[in-house]
Amino acid sequence: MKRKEERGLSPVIATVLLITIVVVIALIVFLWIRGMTQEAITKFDGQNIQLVCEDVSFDASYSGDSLDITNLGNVPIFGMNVKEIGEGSYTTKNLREESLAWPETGLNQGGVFSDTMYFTGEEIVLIPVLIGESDSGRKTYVCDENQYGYEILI
Amino acid sequence: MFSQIKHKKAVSVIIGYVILVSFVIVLGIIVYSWMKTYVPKDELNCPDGTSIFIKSYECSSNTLTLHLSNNGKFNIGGYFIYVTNSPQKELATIDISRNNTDELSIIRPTGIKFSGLESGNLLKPNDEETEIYDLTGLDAIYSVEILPIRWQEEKNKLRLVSCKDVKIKESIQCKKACTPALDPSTSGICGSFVCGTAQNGTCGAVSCGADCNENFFCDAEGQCISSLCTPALDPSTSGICGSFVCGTAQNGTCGAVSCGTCDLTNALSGCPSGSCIVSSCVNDWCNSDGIDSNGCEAPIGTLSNCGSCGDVCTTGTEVCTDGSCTSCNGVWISPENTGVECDGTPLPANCIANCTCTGGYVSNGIGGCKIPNFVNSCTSYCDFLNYNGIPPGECTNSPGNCVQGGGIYEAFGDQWCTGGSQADTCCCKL
Repeated sequence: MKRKEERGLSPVIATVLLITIVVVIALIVFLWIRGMTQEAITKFDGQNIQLVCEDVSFDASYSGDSLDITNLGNVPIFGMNVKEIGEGSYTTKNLREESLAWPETGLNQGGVFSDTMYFTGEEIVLIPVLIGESDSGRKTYVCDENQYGYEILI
Repeated sequence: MFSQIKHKKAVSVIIGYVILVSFVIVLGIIVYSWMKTYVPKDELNCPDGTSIFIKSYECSSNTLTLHLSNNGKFNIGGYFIYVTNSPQKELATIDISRNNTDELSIIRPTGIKFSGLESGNLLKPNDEETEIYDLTGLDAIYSVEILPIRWQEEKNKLRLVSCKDVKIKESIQCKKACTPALDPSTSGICGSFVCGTAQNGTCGAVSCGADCNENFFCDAEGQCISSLCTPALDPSTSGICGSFVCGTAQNGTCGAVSCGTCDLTNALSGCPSGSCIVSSCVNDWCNSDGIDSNGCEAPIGTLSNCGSCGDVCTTGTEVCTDGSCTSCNGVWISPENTGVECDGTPLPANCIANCTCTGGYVSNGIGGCKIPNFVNSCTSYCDFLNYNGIPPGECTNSPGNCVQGGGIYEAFGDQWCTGGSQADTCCCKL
């Protein structure tokens, strides 16, 4: 009967413990989920680079085996992926690697690119590649093809 | 005892609220720090109503002059400028901002700012600006694209902003001029030859210089233009370069198309767009009819092409002499010599009645002079001669003297005059 009246923990300590456990669990869950999601890459004072892709603006043409690109916007285009779509297949090339004419620092404001390129597919899609900052340093980001891809029929 | 425990509170209500609010705030901060990068910001762009246009341009052999005008509602700071060097190019990618003759207006690495030293939006609405570009080293220019820029404040910083929505494109014809060939005989400058438009009679064929070879040629206007054919895509095969026929030659490889051998009469030929054309004529020949297929069919030095192709002498009043049109007017002194020039040379075919008759002679209406109609007797003729400073004499029938005598032989007749100081002067009735 005496033991029944004994208390295990004071309410204060129990509450503190409870909160601590909840916070720790929340932290673990947060870190776990964050690890599953993409690392945030930012550009221009902390703006997510996915949003910066919306501001990318360029013009392009392909004629006479010459691929021409002009950066019309205010976002430097670090690289450009070229998705060459053929019959039932596609290949993707990076202009930074494929062409010596691509500027080392990318296409800045008003920058132009022109080089002889040979594509045999039916269509090419130009997908801009941006570079931004992340916790682990500078990282490139390929803008969404469906939203920001520039299609050119060959 | 049990009721005592039941009524005990773990923490006070205030502390509970504080903890709860703190917890929410902490969670809010965590979520914000995670999501803050996704907060959209206004895109950097020029205000609606920004606009620029090319009012006019002039193009000389090595200079492009653009007259730009701000036809928008906002000031403009400068622009990016690109040109194309091929008519087949859809997009201009040759940056000529470094070719601007005003060094102070060049922005590094690219771009042009208005009004030199200052960086600001200095071109006001309705203002105009003239920009001059040195085209040395550039080939023909077929179009120019201009992308206006402005300096705008963004987060207390002045930033250069491209006005991407108001880029303009203008087709221009700015071809490279040819340089007349040097005179090999004098090793000097080839006079005042007009490259392309005039044949170089002394210096040989007009050339456009060493950098106008292979894929270029000197056209009839004296400009160096591309001679490469760019085949269009075969629509039936959706992009496969099939059996294109470019001019007379077959292009089966999608490469540069040639026109084969262009054998045009009296001409140097070129193949700018798949067919043989006259690029220039050989010496003393001219493509007068403008038809390429028959080459240079007309000789230089005629009334139609006197000094050069298209140099037409005025009918009736001019004659082509030594490559230049000169007046065929003259003073006629021999009234019967209709059909000859005043100095006795045959009347040029192109010359009709327009000579000045002197000494009382009058125009015969067909290019010569004649004795006036009122001179219809020997007496009146003697008077006519007297009028011309010959003393009158006695009139006598003497056809033989008219034929054989010395002095002025006028025509067959039956009378002659003697007397005075001109006793041997024949005077024959008209």
